[in-house]
Amino acid sequence: MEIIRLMPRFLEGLQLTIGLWAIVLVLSIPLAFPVAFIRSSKNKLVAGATKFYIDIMRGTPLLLQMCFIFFGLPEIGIVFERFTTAVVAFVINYTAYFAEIFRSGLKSIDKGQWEAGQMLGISKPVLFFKVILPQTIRTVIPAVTNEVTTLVKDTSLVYILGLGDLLRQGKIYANSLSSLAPFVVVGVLYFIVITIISKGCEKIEKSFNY
Amino acid sequence: MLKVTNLYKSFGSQTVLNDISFELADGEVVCLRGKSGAGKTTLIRCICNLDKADSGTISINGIESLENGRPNKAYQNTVGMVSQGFDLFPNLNVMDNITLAPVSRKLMTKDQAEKAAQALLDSLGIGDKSKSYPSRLSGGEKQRVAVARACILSPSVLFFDEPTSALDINATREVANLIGDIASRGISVVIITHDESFCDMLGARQIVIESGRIAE
Amino acid sequence: MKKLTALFLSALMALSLTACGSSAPAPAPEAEDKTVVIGVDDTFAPMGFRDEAGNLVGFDIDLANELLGRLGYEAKFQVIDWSMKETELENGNIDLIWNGYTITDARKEKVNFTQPYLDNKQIIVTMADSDIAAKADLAGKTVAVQKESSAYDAVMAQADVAASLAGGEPVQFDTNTDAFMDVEAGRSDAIVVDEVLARYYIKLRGEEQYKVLAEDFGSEEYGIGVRKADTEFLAEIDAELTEMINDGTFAEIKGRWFAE
Repeated sequence: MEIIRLMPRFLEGLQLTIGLWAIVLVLSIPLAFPVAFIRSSKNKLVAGATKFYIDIMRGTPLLLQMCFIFFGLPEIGIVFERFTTAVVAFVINYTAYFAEIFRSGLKSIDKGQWEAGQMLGISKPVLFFKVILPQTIRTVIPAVTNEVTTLVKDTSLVYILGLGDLLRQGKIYANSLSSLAPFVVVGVLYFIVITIISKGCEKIEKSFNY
Repeated sequence: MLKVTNLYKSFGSQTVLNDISFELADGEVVCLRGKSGAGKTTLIRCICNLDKADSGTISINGIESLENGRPNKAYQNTVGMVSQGFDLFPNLNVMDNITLAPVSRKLMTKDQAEKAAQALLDSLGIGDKSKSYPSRLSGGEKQRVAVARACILSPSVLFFDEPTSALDINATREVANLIGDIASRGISVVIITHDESFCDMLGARQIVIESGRIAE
Repeated sequence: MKKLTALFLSALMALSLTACGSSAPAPAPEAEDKTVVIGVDDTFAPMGFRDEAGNLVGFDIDLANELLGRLGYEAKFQVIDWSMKETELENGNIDLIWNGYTITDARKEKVNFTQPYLDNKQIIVTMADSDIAAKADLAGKTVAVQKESSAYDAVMAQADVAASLAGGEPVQFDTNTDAFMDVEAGRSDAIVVDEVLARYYIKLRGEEQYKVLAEDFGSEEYGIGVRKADTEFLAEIDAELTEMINDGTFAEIKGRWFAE
């Protein structure tokens, strides 16, 4: 019964989890497109620097990156609040992952389509937005769906900053009630949220069917 | 009239086009034949401005392919291509595939373009496919859509890259009819093929390319 | 359940005058505005955790509010991850580590400790009707502990006792709650556990059900961690802590949270 009375506490945790999730997506997906382009740039210096950034982000744990931003950057005078730290760390990390997904998506579009467009005298922006981008989106949706649901679960890493996300709320009440029920509730909440998100992504994927 | 003069092109140390010159009259059909690697594809890519020749000139009705070393837009309007894979835009239906270029380039209103496209589709015998997506079409239907997409811009020369690869004899005959039909509208047609019987079927002039040179 | 609610209510009252800034930003220097930021782990019942309303409560919370209040400071609690506590202290994000903070030699190199204010023994708990009365009676019995806990280490440190157990070592569970439940279910005969945690659980579940043996597996002490540089502040806290122990306030606060 106390579990029912504790629902508002879990929902507070869920609010932080979902809030962080949404902010990170809204920022990192639009950022990832230019990064994907720069990464495929012919300018070796710029492309190399971008590759280095992506490799660092993918080659080190997100938790470590977050620690570095929160505990390391103050040493050189850059101080972020706890929640801001979480947003910054997740956005730069997820932008790298999305950029790689988009890059491979763009690469998978047959070069012949760019040439067909050129032969028809269609300008590059028109060709990109009307032809290339919609195909890229469809190609990358499964991979993006994966990242988007992983992000929901990854947000629990903010425990290192002392932020009260859904999982931490579960931990708090599992300990104070000496019961496993809070973990069950937390698991069910995660499951519901991720199911809803997956269904949404499926709908989007279907809308790109041709 | 297409006029190619003293065209040279090499990739690294390998000379792919070695002094190619030929002319093509309006409404004439010509087959470019030769082994793979002989330089056929490079030749038409150069004529279409998809690749740049090292030297030599190309002109259609007196308009040069390059202007100050850069692709000439006025020239580009005179060439059309039906590539081997057709390169239709898979996310657009047949109608949008055909009208995207004239509408986005503001050559026609959407209405005009759709009427013109429908007329082309009807004349190609696929008038009922305008709302279909490319993935729903047979190979022959895709080819016709690619023809319509190129023809709506009224090119002077239309290029076909291996239009009969993997087709049976009946389908090949249909393609021959289609090309004859296009030529009868005054459009010159250049066909890359290694199928000699197809050239005979068309009764077309043949240009054989061997190691970057014109033979015969 | 009523007991639990009453417990929370009393804790709430104790806290009613204190603003609970659990997600407060990095602190201003304490000397100027008299605010002291205390790093806590809010998953650690009964030292510091959250009640049903989400308020931070616990023995250390009450103690800190009372002690710092007497010194004229305002206590602010910042939730931190326990593994980062010394870094948070050094960075100035927090001013004190005060949440069941065990005094060890390794930690003494990084922070200054106040006097120990609480003993945390590794005690042996059985069901009230058990015939186990001493460590020697554990021979051949199944003993439950939390996985990778100090309780496990403490038992294993006494090799002869550990070897005498059924299976040659304690059975390990993910949480102390699991371990307790296994004892209640009769599968395990005893549990070795942090006294502080055990007393709290026993109080929640009903003291009459359990028996705590007189023998234990050694003890450790809790202290308050202060930045090395803040020596005056350390002396201030130490003196007030002594005062609270002498005037009985300490015992009164302790009684709110722990079974005898």
